Amino acid sequence: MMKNNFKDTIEFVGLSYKKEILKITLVNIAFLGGIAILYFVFDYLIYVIVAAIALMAIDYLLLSRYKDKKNLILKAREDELIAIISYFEIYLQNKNNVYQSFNLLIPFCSSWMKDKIETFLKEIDKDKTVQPFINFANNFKHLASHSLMLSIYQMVEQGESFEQLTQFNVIYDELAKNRNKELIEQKERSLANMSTFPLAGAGLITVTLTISILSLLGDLINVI
Amino acid sequence: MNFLLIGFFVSLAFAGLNYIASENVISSLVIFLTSIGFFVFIARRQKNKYLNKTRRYHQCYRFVNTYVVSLSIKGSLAYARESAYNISDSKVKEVMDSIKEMDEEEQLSYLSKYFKFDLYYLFVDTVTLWNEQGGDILNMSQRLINKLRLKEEYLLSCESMHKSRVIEFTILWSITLIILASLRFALSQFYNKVIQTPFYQVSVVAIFLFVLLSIYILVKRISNVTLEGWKDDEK
Repeated sequence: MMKNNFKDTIEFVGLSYKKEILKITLVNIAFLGGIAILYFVFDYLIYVIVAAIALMAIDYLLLSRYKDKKNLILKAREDELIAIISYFEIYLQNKNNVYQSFNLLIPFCSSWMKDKIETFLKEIDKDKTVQPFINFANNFKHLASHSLMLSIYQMVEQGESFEQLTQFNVIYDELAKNRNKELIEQKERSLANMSTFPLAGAGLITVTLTISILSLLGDLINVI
Repeated sequence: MNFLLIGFFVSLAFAGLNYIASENVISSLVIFLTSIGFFVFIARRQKNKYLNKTRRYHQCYRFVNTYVVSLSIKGSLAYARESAYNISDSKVKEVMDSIKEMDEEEQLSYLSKYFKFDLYYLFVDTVTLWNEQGGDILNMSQRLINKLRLKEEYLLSCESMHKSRVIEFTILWSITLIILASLRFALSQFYNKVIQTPFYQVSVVAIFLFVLLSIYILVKRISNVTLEGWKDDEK
């Protein structure tokens, strides 16, 4: 099950499972070879321990990057949905119907989104129930995407009335405001993290001086 | 002040501090040249890209607002174009001057090559629709104007955030590097022995390279603003 999840994640981000496993295996073999040389040829036990810890860290980074990449893709899709729904709203306001408005969104979309919208439009051609709207919303994790698609369906059902458009606008406005807030917070966080660099620099200076002074003291003791 | 001039003085300061900390002319020269190279070829390019993107968005925001308001007052595309032209900066005027012979709608469409934002394309669609079917342009573009304003507010808050964070970052690094330079005076005689160790010499250079890396990450993060439709390789 876990293996399948891992395989699914790798394939989700557009990479080949076999190639990635081969890469990770080769990195591990190269590192283990290096560790073996350090231990059996040079007998450096401390370096072996450091190299083993480094290998674990590298493995962790290599294995977790697929999930990070997957999360980034999912987040980008949610963001794209919110962006294109805002354009959809503008087209609706300008007297286009739901079908036309979704069609007009296609030039603004990524290839993934374009594919999903085209499938959605084909489905609503054949099926006049709520199902195509739910199917489209299922492509996204965000709960609000379901509310949005349901309100669009209700709008279609009730003849795209002004009241339904207003209800849709209320849901969308809330989502857009949250997204804007989230973007600003994200920016704030990424810039706030920058203050750790000077602190890390101060740490490096301390370590440099400590090691230099200790090695000098060691030399002095040896002389005495 | 000119960015390159600032880069030059910062590089000079890094080289000076490196010399105070290590008394090594060669490593100071390496730090100076690396810093200058970094500011000229990497940071400046990144900064220009960011400024170009945000300046165009600000201009796009002003252009669309003025155009819509003028169109609603006189109901004339020519008048709206003229009003938008008057409030635009010299670069937008230059583009508009070069397409004077086109008709009003073509001019608007052509400008989407300059204002490469999704919202501008929507604005062109809205004006085209108004031209074909009539209606109240203020009403038709109300949601569009709201979205443009929301994005403008986001950009403005990012810009104010950038200023405060850059000041904070500069102060923190200045304190850290001043500590590094002042250690030689604090450790006096003992320092003469410390600077002779190769480990110390290499580490000091590594610290300055780390400073440059952190500046690069800061510039990258600052220039990362979300404007739908704009691609970072745009010129």
